[in-house]
Amino acid sequence: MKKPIIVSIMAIGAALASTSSIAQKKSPKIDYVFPDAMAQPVRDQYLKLAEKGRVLYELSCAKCHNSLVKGKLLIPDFTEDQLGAYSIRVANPRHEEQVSESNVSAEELALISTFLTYKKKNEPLLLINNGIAHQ
Amino acid sequence: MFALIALSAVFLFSFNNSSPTNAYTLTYYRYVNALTAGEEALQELIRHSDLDKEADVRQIGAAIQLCRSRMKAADFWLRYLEPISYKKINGPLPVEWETEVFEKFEKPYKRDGAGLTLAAQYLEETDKNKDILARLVAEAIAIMPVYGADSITRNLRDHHHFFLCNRLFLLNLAALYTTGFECPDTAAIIPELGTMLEATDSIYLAFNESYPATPLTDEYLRLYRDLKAFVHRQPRSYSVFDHFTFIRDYVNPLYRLSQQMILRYRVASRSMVDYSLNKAAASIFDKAVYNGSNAKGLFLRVKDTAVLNEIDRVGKLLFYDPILSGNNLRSCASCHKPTEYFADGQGQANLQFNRKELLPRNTPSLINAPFNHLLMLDGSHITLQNQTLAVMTNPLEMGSDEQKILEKVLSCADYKKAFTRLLAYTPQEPEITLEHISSAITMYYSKFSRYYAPFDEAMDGGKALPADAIAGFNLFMSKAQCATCHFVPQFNGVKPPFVSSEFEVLGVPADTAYRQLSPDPGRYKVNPAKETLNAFRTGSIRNATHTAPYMHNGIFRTMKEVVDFYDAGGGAGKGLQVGNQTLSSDQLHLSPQEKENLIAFIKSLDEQVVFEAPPAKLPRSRNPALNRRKVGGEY
Repeated sequence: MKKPIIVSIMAIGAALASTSSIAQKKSPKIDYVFPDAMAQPVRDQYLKLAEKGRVLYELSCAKCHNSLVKGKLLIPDFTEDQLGAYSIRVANPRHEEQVSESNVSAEELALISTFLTYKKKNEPLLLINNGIAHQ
Repeated sequence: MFALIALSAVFLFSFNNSSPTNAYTLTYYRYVNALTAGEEALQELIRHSDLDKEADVRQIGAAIQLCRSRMKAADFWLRYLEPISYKKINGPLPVEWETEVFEKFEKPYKRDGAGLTLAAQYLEETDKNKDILARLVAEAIAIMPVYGADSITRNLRDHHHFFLCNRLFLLNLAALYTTGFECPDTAAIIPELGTMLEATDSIYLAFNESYPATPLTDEYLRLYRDLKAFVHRQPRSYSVFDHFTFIRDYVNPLYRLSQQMILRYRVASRSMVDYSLNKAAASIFDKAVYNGSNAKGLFLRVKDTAVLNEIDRVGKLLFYDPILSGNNLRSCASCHKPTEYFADGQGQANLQFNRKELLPRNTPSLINAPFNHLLMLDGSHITLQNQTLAVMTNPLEMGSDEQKILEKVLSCADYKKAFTRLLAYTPQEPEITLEHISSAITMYYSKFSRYYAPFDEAMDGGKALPADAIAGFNLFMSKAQCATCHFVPQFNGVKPPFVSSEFEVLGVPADTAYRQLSPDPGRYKVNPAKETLNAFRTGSIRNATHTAPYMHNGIFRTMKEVVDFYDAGGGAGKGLQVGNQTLSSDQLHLSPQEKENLIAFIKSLDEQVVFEAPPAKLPRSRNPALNRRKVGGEY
């Protein structure tokens, strides 16, 4: 297994202290990677779902998770484990507030997961350790 | 730098792991280990006993009771920290088919129960097999190491889990612990409660000693000791126990204090089962105590009042608009009559789309529907919006299809303009969809679920409640065995921590002469397993006065008939063959006065809903043929 490079958000946070524009900055065009075995009509459906998920990600997640690396907007890669549906709601104290039922519905959560699952991974893989796990 | 932090973290963790250092952690291990030891002793006893000898059976019974006391002492943690394993120690049912909310996108799955409650129940049977009894206990023993695993015990290292355990404990004091939900020996309910309160007090003490920065406040502890004293003064029989005062004067005020501490100490959850509970609700009887279904659908993120009002306006028009049906003659309001608590008091069931035969099921009220996680009596829908859409496209109900609904709605300028403007609030949706339509409808009718009943005001605001209603509540919680399925506070099938909807098999007949069982397979249609045949989702009894007739098929016209049905032990009690009935077939032996009191309590759950007049007119379509449609439809 490849060893993921883990970037602490605290380091990025420091780099970002002077820029507050991440939330406003539109995501670049997203490339998706679907499994080869996925038939075209299914792929089309997934693409639609992933695009809805992208918009919801921008609304609910980007502010904390996106970062600027050398002026380029970066959407982090998440592991399958991190995208475990309802466990996202209690991944950390901030999520408990931000990703609560009254802010993100179960259906929306599924769309966001679809987006992050099929979004093309960064090179090299940038797994974001969001750094706010329970002490 | 990072590596250094990681290294020291590992060191710290392993240190904590190997030696539980504080009084609180020691208390945890003491109680959990005592339970394990008790279960092992029980297992030994069963192995060396002869179930044909009455003395042996009695001895086993006493050992089970001892284990139960130890289980109750640790219940505070066991139930919260690992709810699935807990079912092996204290499963209320031999087999449960569950769909918890975070699994609602998956198929229902089977959970085999085991443990002390089922063992005690099994011991009562006439034809007993030692191996079966031993297995029920062995499964409980086998699960105990889970509670020593690091993934569980690491929670003990800070205050967070404690306040969440305590929140669930308080909710269960209100909903489960006094009702016999998982205590087959009704004489043991209040004594076990006493044991549990005492043990939990020692947990409280240890916690305050070990976590002085985030203590339970003196006010909380004083009130908790008052609660203990109250229970001590009360009669030992759960049927004469004052459940009403217990909850109103002690449990609910403790909940309020507990919620304050959860906010003050910034308690954060690590458990999925907490997500439904609302930290901001100060009372168990606040309707916001838990989130059920998402009533706002696609418009979840809208917070602006003007926009919300606009969605409400459109939702109301749609609710009354027969344009949603295939023949433009039938609206939501045709069956869910807004002035009749969004039900239909007319008959057993409503007409089918063809206007000839009756639909197979009675029209349920939409009020309080959002407090369920699974919708429809068979739980076939997981969102209010899908349920709404399914009615519109059901050939027996509104008989339309998806494309026509959208076309016809958008042929009206008012709707088209409104939804086009609303698109700005659902940026994930590039165009107007059926879900915009269904979301507006569910948001509209759900606002009628915000009202309270005299019972809530008595519990929460201290308003007086008639003596017969209070007596009725106390019966509801005990001898009448209602509260073991209709849980406080919504009195539906959603019990703390409010993450699933329960189904029951009652043996509802097809006719009042009890000639045969209702042929409706219920939950079986969604999940064909032998246990789910004729099972239906437990509904709320709120507003029941206004939602006659009753049961899935509307077979009973009065509440008296319903109470008589339960008093007789359901369908099986009435002599029908119902092999999988989950309701006890024993008679309840309720006196006529007790039945009247129960009904008086149910009437105290009538919510003071403020209804609205129908819209004066419906939006005009560019198709003139559609402009003949009537507000609310024609049948």
